Amino acid sequence: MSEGYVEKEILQDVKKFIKKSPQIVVYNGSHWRKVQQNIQHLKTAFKDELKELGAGVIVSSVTSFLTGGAIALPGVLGFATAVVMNALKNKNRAEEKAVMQKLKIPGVYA
Amino acid sequence: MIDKEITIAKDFLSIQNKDGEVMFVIMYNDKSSQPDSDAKIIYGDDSPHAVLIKNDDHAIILDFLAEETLKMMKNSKKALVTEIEYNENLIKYNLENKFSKDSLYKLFEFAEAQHALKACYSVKLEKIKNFDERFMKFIDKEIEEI
Repeated sequence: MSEGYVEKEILQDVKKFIKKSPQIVVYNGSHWRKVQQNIQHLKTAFKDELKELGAGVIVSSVTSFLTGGAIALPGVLGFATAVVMNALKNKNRAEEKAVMQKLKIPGVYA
Repeated sequence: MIDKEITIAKDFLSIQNKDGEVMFVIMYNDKSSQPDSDAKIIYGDDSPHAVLIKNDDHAIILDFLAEETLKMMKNSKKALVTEIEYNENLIKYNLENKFSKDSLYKLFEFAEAQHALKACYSVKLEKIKNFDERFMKFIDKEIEEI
């Protein structure tokens, strides 16, 4: 058990909560606003490249996230990297790497 | 005037499950404090922000709430809150798992194993009329400092 204030009973409630298929996951907070701005920037900057992945790929992948881990990545660009990775999850690793490199997104494959 | 220490939850999620229950997941909260049994989240009618009154000494600003989150809050009287100290292992774990469908549950298990799950408690959700008057000055100040 973690150090902190984790009540066992509530922890069980949390686990039950999560098992009941989260229907809506919403990101909030000032950092998230910056992320949104950056995604907009990415969509504009890599408009042509993203077309190859399918229309609206970034937006749809963001809304399909079920965890908030990405927003804790170091830096907003890191988040965008994870967004693109998520969008590519059904592609094989070679395709994924090729697109990542084409998008010139540093980090994971640097 | 507020006599509590105020921190800001820079990143947080609001989640609603299929039963309409609500949970907030707060990350990067750098102050650890034990929640009172009557901890609550206070919000106003038109404000995009809310305040989690955790105990007599500590309040956490939940800033820039999305529309969907405000809707969740208005439709619920209570919520679960978890606080996760986000570390490099968790970031790596999330990247490796690429946010798969069941990753939220696994994330919590992993956070627990990593001793990163720092708090887990329930709160009341309370809408008040004079929210702006009571809190906005402090919220604006905290946001400016980010």
